[in-house]
Formats: sequence, structure tokens, C-alpha cells
Amino acid sequence: MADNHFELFGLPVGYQVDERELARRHRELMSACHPDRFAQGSAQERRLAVQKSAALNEALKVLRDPIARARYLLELAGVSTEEETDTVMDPAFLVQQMEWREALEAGHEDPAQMASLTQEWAALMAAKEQELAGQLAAGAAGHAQARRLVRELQFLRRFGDELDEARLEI
Amino acid sequence: MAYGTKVLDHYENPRNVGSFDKNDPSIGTGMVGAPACGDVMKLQIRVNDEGVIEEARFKTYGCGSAIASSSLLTEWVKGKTLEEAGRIKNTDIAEELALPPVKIHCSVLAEDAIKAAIADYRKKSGDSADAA
Repeated sequence: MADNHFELFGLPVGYQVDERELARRHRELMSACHPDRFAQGSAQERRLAVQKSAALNEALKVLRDPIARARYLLELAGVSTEEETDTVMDPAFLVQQMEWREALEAGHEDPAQMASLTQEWAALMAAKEQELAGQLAAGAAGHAQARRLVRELQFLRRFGDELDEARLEI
Repeated sequence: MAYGTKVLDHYENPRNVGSFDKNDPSIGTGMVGAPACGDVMKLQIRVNDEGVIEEARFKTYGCGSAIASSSLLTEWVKGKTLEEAGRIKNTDIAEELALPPVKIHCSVLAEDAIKAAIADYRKKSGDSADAA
């Protein structure tokens, strides 16, 4: 078995992933362990094929999502993002997140307000993702900042979902 | 997911929602966030000269369990000293609301929020004592 999700697909360990190549290799490897191929095989062969396809799907889920991929890279390096237990965040960041949510609550029916919030959100999301790529490229020296960015991006992703929901309700 | 009756009660009728002026010296503000689900919680306490919490307010953007945890906490801390309030554990909140294991982090958030509010109040009152 491969040591990590990247190796499973024969990809180099790193934040930059060619998503089309990832999807292509996933398809290829999945077809190699398709249950039909093992219809005549032993119970053990069938079980291994099922395990392999589950591992491939799990690995794909992690690698194609930039936040999950970054979290996984940190995990491989022994850095935990402690998203369930560590609630201490940069106060200025939290104030901004609170203000955005208040603005959305008050202005979700106002198209101009929605447009400006969406724009602000998209710009910050892009900036933080870019910063995350830079910190992860720096190796161990960038781990503390990368950990902070993964944690902050979770709030931004959640806010993005809330913007989508608000748009659907208009 | 099915919420317990106590969670639903606090979610549908949240107690003490709102804000105090964070610059008021008798107010302590705790601001925390749970990256796991992107919840943001602000908890504020008004403390009298005897170090007793007279009132608490909260504002939480998050799931029902996070809202219920902070609502319950504002009820619990009222009338408590800072020391007593600082001893409230997330497990007490989780138990009272019968939170399922996947929602335990919501009660952690509430515990950390009251701790942060107490620390903020102490820092402010310490600073003003130094200045005086």
C-alpha cells in the first residue's frame, strides 16, 4: 500500500496538484480495481479490490480540495490544525468575520450589498489561498502560517456557503 | 440531525442575545471561533465592583448547538463571581444540552468564550488600575 494519498496516485507530495491529471489517474486506478474484474476471483481478492477503491476515493476527496489538501500536507509533516479544539484566532480576523455575518444578515435582500460582500469575500479567499500556497512551498518554515491560513479559510468557506444560500433565497 | 429539546428551546428562544459597548470598563468581551465549522461567537459580561457578573450577552453565528451553548452559558454566568464562572466546563454544557459527540466542540467554544471574556475584563480593570 502507498504511504500517503499523493503516492497512491503516483503524484509528488506538494500543494500544487494538476487536477485533471489527478482525475485521470483516479479513473484509471479505479477501473483496475472494479468489482467486475474480480467476479471470478477469491473472496480475499474481492475484499482487497473494495478496500483499494475506498482508499482511492478517500484520497481523491482530500487531494482535489485545496483546504483539505493543505491540512493533509500539514498532517503529514506532524502539524495538527486542531480545528475542533483550538478556538483562539486572530481577534481582528474574528471581528471581520462577525461583521461580514452581521452585514449578510442585515443586507441579504439588497443586491448591491450582496454584490459588495461577495466581492470582498472572493478577494480575501483568493489572497489567503495564494498566501497558503506560498507558505506551504516554504516547507517547515511556513508551517505555522499555513496552519493559521487553513483555519481561517474554514471560516471563509463557510461564509461562501452562506452567501450561496442567501442568493438562493432572493 | 435531530436536536434535543433543550437545544431546540435555546435555539428557538435564545436568551440574552445582543451586545454591550466593548469599550465600557465594566464589560468583558470574549471573541472565539471554531474552525471545524466556521462558527463565530461573541460573549460579553457586565461585571460589578464586587466581581460579580450582573448580565451577559451573546452573538453567535453558527449551528443550533453553538447558539444553544452560548445562550445557556449567559443564563448560567449571571450572578456568578468571575472565579465561579471561570470554572464552568464544556462538559457541563454538553451534558445539560445532551449534545451528541460531533457537537461537543460547540460547548468547547462556549467555555473558551467565557474564559476569554473574563480575561478581557481582568486585563481592562488591571490596566485602568495601573493608569489610576
